[in-house]
Amino acid sequence: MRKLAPYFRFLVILWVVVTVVFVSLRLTPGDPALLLLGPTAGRQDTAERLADIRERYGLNRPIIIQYGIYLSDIVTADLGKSNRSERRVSELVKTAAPVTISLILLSMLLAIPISIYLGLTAAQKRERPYDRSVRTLATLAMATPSFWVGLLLVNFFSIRLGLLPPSGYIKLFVDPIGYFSHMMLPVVTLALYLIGTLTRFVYTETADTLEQDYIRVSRAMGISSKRILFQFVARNSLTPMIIIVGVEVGTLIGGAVIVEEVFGLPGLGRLLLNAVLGRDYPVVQGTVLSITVVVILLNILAEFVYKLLNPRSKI
Amino acid sequence: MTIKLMKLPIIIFSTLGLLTLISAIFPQFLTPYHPDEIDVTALLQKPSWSHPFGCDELGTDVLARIIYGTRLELMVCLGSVALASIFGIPCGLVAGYFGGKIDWILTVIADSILSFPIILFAVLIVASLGASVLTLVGVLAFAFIPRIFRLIRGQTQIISSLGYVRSAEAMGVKTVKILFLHILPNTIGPLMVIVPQLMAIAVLIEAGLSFIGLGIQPPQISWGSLLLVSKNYYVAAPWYPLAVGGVTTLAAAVLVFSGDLAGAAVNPLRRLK
Repeated sequence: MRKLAPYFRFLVILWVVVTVVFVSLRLTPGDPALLLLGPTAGRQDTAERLADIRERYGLNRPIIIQYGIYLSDIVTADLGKSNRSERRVSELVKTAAPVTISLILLSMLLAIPISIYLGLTAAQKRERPYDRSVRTLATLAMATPSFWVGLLLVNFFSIRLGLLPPSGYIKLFVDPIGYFSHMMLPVVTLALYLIGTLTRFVYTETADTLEQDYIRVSRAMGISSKRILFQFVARNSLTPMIIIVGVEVGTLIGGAVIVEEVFGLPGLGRLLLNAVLGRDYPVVQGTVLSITVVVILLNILAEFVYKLLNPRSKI
Repeated sequence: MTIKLMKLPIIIFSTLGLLTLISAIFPQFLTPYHPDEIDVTALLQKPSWSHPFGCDELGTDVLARIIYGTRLELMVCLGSVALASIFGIPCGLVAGYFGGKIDWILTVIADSILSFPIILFAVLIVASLGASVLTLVGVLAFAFIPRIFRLIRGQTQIISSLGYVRSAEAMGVKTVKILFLHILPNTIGPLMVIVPQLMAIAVLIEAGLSFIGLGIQPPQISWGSLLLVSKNYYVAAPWYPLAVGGVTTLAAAVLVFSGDLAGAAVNPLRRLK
């Protein structure tokens, strides 16, 4: 029973998240059916469609029944239909997700090794110019609005030098070179933020580990400082990184929404923003909900892997 | 020694903080220009002595617009953090002090809110309530509550087991008094570490949301809405977006740095190293 407790907690978290999304629609001033219907200008069948929506979501029945209908829809993975194109929201999410996922994965692949290297070496050269400049740059990278960096990169590499395409997307299997040249700038833009955060994290962890006795002993034994840093210290200070990377996925998705807008990538961010501008509420709600659920599941996974790698945390 | 080393950044940061405050309250003291003044002879003018950051597409002084934008920026930052503290601090005190079921429930709710990516949650709320300063402050406050809650809860757990709290309990001091008079003042230190960090997040989220059209809407001026407007002038007038983005980055970086400084001051172990 005790072993199951964390999973019960996550179930409750999922439930609260789902409920917050439900409440956010009902708290809106005005008729939720109108919000779900979206723009209706020039349509003859507005009244009929409103009645349909009321019937479908039980909007003319008590709130408890509305909630029941909503929950059973979620459990059966029915996120409703776009009020513009009549396409299923789950289908729209499935089409857009690979672009966003690959953007995030590629930026992680780029950012993680760089920040590990920078964080470890900076902590070893504590309070020297190298350490100070790494930490200052990391903080700056964290504090820069990503879309601004993105636009500066586009202007330099695409417009001034003409090296890379400024925006657009080509599928990996259609044209791998085109894919990477289109993904290069967005990935660098998103990775920059991640490098900032992770470097700062690795630095703090490493600085703490370096103070421990076993490191002093290894040094006294004459083991080279390179080996101490990359073998002994790294093992201890990098395991908590799994948790942080899991947490950062949420921030990265938020960043990806904006970066996709800058580079015209057809990912989840694009889907979401077009839906907001087109007042396509079902798509907004369904997309936010599915992304948040995935983020929660990834965090569970991160915690699980962390426990697997770090037996101390079991106690 | 430590005080000497720490003095320089503190002087720089307090000067910048003072400047920010003046630009928010009395912007007219810092610039002779008005942020809505149109000057057709100065469209996208290059930086010069009279216009240090150049002019925008309407001939308005960019520096003046940045200075006048500070007010809204500061309102968003301070407003969201203050609102989050009003809810986060009492909840954290209660959860940390009493523990048990109420602690479990509050923590689970906090963790649920934390698992929403802030930008996505903002998109959801803006989609139903529309974009405005108030929506922005509300969304940020909602996202910050669990962060403040967790900090205060953790601190309260540590402090409430200390001797002086125990003796206050034994003397029959009212629980409310223990929470707010005996425990809360001792959580101020760590709170001073997290507040600048949250304000930095607020600056960046405001910039991002305004940039995608879901935050502050032009003609209202904030740094985010200026970044949105300057989007089209990266080639024709690069100083314009550079100045706005540079100021935003600088503000966020200074906030993060001052959080770090406060952390070093609060945590004596870190200071020794």
